[in-house]
This record gives sequence, C-alpha cells and structure tokens, in this order.
Amino acid sequence: MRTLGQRLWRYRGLYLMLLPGLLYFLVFRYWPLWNAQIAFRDFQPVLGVWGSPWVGLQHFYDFFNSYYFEQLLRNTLVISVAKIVAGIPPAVLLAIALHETSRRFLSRLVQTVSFLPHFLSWVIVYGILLAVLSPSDGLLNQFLQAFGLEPIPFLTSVQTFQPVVVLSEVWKETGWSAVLFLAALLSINPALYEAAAIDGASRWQQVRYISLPGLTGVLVLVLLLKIGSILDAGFHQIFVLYSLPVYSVGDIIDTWVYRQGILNFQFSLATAVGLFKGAIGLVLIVLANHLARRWTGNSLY
Amino acid sequence: MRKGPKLLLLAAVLATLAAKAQGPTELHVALYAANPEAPAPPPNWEVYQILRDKLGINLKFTMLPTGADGDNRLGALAAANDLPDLFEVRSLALFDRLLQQGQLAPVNKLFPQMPRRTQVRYSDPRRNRLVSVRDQIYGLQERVTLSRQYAIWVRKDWLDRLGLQPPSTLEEFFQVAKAFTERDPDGNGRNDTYGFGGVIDYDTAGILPGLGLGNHFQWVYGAYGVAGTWNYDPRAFAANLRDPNFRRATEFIRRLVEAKVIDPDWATLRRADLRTRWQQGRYGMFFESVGGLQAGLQNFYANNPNAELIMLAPPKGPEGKSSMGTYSSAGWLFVVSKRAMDSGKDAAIARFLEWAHSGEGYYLLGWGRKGQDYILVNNVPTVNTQVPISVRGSYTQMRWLAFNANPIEMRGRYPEITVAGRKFVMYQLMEKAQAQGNWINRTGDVAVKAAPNQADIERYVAENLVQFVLGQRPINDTTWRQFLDGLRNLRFEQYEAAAERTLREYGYLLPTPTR
Repeated sequence: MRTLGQRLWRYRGLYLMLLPGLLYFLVFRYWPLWNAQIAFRDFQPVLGVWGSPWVGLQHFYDFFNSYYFEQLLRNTLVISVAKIVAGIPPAVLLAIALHETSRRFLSRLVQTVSFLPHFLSWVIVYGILLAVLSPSDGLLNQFLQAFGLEPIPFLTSVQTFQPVVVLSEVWKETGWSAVLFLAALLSINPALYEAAAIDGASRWQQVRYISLPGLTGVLVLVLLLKIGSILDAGFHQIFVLYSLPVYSVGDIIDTWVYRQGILNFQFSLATAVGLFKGAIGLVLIVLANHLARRWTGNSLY
Repeated sequence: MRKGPKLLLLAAVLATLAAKAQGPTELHVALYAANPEAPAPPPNWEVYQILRDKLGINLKFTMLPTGADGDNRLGALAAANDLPDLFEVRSLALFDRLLQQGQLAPVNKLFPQMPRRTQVRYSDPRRNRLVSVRDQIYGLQERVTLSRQYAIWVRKDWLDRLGLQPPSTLEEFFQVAKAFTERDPDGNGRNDTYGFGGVIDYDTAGILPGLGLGNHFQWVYGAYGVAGTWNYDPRAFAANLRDPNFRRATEFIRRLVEAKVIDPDWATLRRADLRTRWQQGRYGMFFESVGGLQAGLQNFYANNPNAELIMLAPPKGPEGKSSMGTYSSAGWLFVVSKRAMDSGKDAAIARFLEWAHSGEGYYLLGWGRKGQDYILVNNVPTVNTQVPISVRGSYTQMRWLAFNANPIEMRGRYPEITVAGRKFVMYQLMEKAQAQGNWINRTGDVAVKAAPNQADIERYVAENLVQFVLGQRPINDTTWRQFLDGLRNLRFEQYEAAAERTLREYGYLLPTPTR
C-alpha cells in the first residue's frame, strides 16, 4: 500500500493543477466566512472585525422587518423561478437542434451567433432593449403604431417588466447554457443512435428515447445549482433595467441591499442579508439534492 | 500687514524648511475625478516633482470614479481601515458613518497652518458648523463654486415658427409644450418632437435634490411653493409633501404626461440619454445646466443648424410663485483621516492645501500646463481647446482643491465661445441662470442626518409619485391620503422630527424662506 506522500508525488501533476482552484476557494470563499461574523456585530473598522461589538441578530431583524421585505422576497423568487422555468427548455432545444443538424457549418454558425449575447454587458443590452422597446421610437412600438395600436411602455409597466427581464435573460444566456447540454449530448455513445437507426427509429424517436434520457443527469445538475442560488435573481440585470415605475415588481433583495446596505455603508446589514441568502440556498440545495437522488437516481453528491 | 498673520506665515515657512530637512512626507490624497473623461495625471506630472522639491511632500494621488462607484470605493477603504490621508467626501451618509466610526480627525489645527486658504474658504462659522460635532470641525467645507446653474431652455426658432411667445406660467408652458408636440415645429412633416425633456435625476452638482421626482421637476414644485424636501417656515415646519400644493404640482406633471408632451421614455432615461436627445433636436424645451449646454452646443448645432435657444425664467404657478429649485451654499467637502492626523501629517496637509489655494499651485492644479493646456489672456485663464479634454483633463483632476469661484475664474471656466457662427457668453448665461431662477437656499438639508431606513423612504416617496404621474394610480383624495398615511409605516414622523430638531439647532428655520 502506498503512503499518502507517495500518492501525492505520483499524481503531483494533477494536484498541481488542482492547487489554483483550491487556493481560489480558500481565499475567496472560505476565508471571508471568518469575516462574515460582522453580520452579528456592529462593524467598526477602527476596532476591526474581532473588536466590533456584538449585536446578535439585530441586522437580520432589521432586514426581516424592513418595509419592503415581503415584496423583495416575492420579486426575487418570482424572477428567479421564472428564469429557471423559461431558461432551461430553450437551451435544451437549442442543444438538441445543434446536435441533430447534419450541416456542421450551419451548426457552428448558429452556435457562435447564439453564444455572442452572453458576452454583452447588461448596459449594452439595456441600450438594445431601449432601441427595440422604447415607447417613443422603439422598433416594436413603431410596428404596433403602424397598425394603429397604442405604444406599450415595456420597461416602465408593471405588467410587462418581469417578462422583459426574463425574456432578455433567456435571449442573452440560451446559447451559453446550451453548451453544457451539448457536451452531454456529445458524450452519448454513438452506437446507441446507430442501433436505433438500424431498428428503424425515426429522428424524433432517437431524440425522445436516447438524447433526452441522456440529458437527465446534466439537467438535474443544472437545476440543483440554480436552486442553490435561487435568491440571486440577477443584480446586474435588474440594476440596469429597473426604474421607479417598476420598483414594485423589479426591486429584488440584492438591489435593496445595494441601496440600503452598500450606498448607506451598512456593511453588517449587507453581510447579514448575504448570510441569509446563503443559508436559504444551502437548505434548498440539500433538500433538492435529496429529492433528485430519490426520484431520478442522479444527484450532485 | 498685522503682526499675527506675519508670524503665522513665518511659522509656515519655517515648518516647510524643517520638513524638507527631515525628508519628504508621504501624503495620500484621494479625490473624485474632476474630468471623468480623462485619465489620472501621468507619473511624470510636474506637480509631483514640485511638491517633493518645494514642500517636502511625496504625493500619491488616487482618482475616484464619480458617483456611487467612488462612494463605494471609499466605503470599502473605510471598512478596511485604510482611508487616504486627505480625501473628498460627496456622500453625506458616508461622512456621517465615518464620523460615527471615529475614522475622521478634527481639522481645527490645520486652520492656523494655512492662513490664506482658511481666511477665504473656511471662515464662515455657519458653514463650518455643518460638519462640526461640538467644537470640533471634522471637514474642510468649501463654499459652493457651482450652483444654481440649471435652467429650462426653449427652442426660440420653434416658437417663432408656430407664432408663440416664451411661456411665463405653468398653463402657458403646457400650451407651448402641446404645440411643440403636435404642430410639427421642425417642419419635417413627421410627428417626432416633444414639448419637454427631463429625466428622474438626483445629481447634486449645481442643484440640491430632495425627496420626490428629482431635480428636473423641481421647477413645477417651485411654482407651487413646495420645492425641496422641507418647509423651512418655523411655524409650519413639515415635509413639503404634506402640503396640498405638493399634490397640485404632482397633478400638473401628470397632466403633462397624459397629454404626451413629455418624451414617454422620461421615467427610464438617464441624463446622458436626455443630452443626446436634446442635441438631436427632439425637444422644444428641456432642463439642462449651463455646463451641460456648453458641452452639447457643438453637436446640437451640427444637427440643428438653424436653431436658436433661449433661457426661460421658472414658470409661475397659480399664486404667482416660481423657483427653478433648491441649492446649498456648501460645496466640496475634504476630510482628513484620523490615522493621518495621528501620524503627524497635519503640517504636510496644510502646506499642500495652502499651496493649492493660490499662485503656482492654483494654476497648476486648476488650469494645467501653462502654454499647453491654457494661456493667460488679460489675466483670464483661457483653455486651449485644441488639446482634447481627454488629454488636458488629466492635468486638472485635482482642480476642485484649487478653484474658488472668483469672477476671473468663472470667466475662464465659462468663456465666450462661438458655435456655428453664434456667440455664447457662457459666464453671462451662468449669471443669468443664477439670478433669474428664484433659487431657494436649503443649505440646512445638508445637516439633516439620513434616517436608518433612508433608502426605503426615498423609494416610497419617489415610487408613489411616479405611479401617480404615470397614471398607474389615480390621484384623488383617497389615494393621496393613502400615500401620506403609508409614510407612518416607514417611521417618517421620526425622520421629520429629527430634521426639525437639526434645522432649529443649526438656525435654518427662518421666518421667511432664504433666497
């Protein structure tokens, strides 16, 4: 039997490759947990993390009792769940379509084009949305007006804001999300498709009985990861897109924390909310993982 | 010269000599970018060398991004207990927080070490009081160098084409805005113009924002006598939004929106978008600062070669009241970290600030490289516009430490310019905007501490007003009462009571509003 040292030495190349990732998690994920104690203190920089006075659960209490708490939680959950529900099917469909096409050039072109929006910042996407949705000269509203219809203030209407948020996210991220599913499809043994074709299975039947079951594992993985961050509804996107008329449906926990916690320099409050989000995410991911293992046999760990 | 100042000057000179003998003092200064379109000064900036040679200071300058990003950066430095020695604070919430955390040092002992600067800039006890706790002054509170510079600008060529007069009342404003929207004032045969362009904006430069719809609509509330957050009448102190006239002003804005005479994008547009649109010639009237106008004239006339702009006095309301908005007489605020003062850097800070106040320091920091970035014409610094602002702007990133708004300086900053064959005397326009705006002094607002739930209060008021104005909620007795009653859930009364206490204590509640 090899000793630990011998094994480390034997696989030194692999461990070396692991090192940067480990360091990243230690420095940026685990070390900050020590400082997360300021959520329970009235943080005073002069006194340091350790010297700041304890205030118990005061910051959590302030957050839960804040005027807009219920609305913030509702908006965060609605937008987050809607993004998951509306975001996964198009990515799966795109991956299957790319996998199924026999024209490689077309497949690569579509993949590249659908990829591109992922690299645009939300500020640029806001500019594009304004050019399309603006009630004064937006493309879509000009189209509506050409048919004698009233322009719709998509970005300032409480009825349309959440759909705009969700659909713009779907437009921006579908190509990127499809990569994972495409990789899963490519890892399916081609012999299965060949055997099915010999047995007379149509393309649709191949998709239904080979491709889709082959995606289950990745689908569960993606879903679990998204559930773990369900209280992250997309700060950057909302921050750029929202405005006063749609705060009632657009303000989420993170934008509130930015205004109340960061802009007012209440770092302890901001940390408390971060911990709260992390705790909820942890509970949900453990629960969802358990259910996924029970129902599908696939799980994260 | 009396004996006292002579001795002080002598002491300052001796201190400089002593400092030089000991080697340079490291001084970390952080200021918001004075020219956000230009980078920080290059490492070979002559100022660094001059400060080392003449003042014994090794300057490290950090340029903060303007707006919330800069505030956040300072906040992060504060959280790490790593604040610069001398820095600028624009967020009053941050100032309060730093004060509460004991990260700021009293600056009283700097004053005798920089007598000239102190005499001109920090000798107003009332202004110093804004940043004082008991007898200790915790900031170098400058007087405002740029305020009341906003106005409503009107397309006179459109007025002439439609046979209209510049509006002087709210009702006339509405009628003119309607004509600009509906009667094709640019004669291009298309329905592509709007009567008025304004956005929801809370910028603090040149105008003091209050609770509500932001700076660009203060003139409507001013026409009803309720501009700003608080009513400074000592017998009737309250938040202005409790006044029935506040509802009437909101109803007027709703009328503008309903009549579609405001660009329908107004609630989502940023200030930069507004500027693009007025420069494109989409608006008959728009809210803009003199500085913003100066920066946009070139584009404006490239797009609208036959246009003519005039400045409008604030329109009068039903009772004859008018005001373009509120302002504060307190300007830039510079503070010193406790760590810097504890480590004995006060003398170096004072030397640096005194140098920046006049003579060589004033010109180098305020105007840049003589002969390259500016020249003196009849003693008036005249900017060389051949050097792009992205280049010359680097050399004046610390200009707010130097500028003091004297008349010659204002002529240099707002010069006479010619655009598309038209002459604009910008400093005269500035003076006119300041004089005819009936601006209301609300300096006391600066002393009022933010409520613990300030973000929620601001959101509640602004969001409800926007809903009223956009027609998402009807405005009637019931809905308005609901709006006012809802303030109770935000503990608004406590905020209001604290504001009244502060304003009384600081002597800002006067029998008649200060003009």
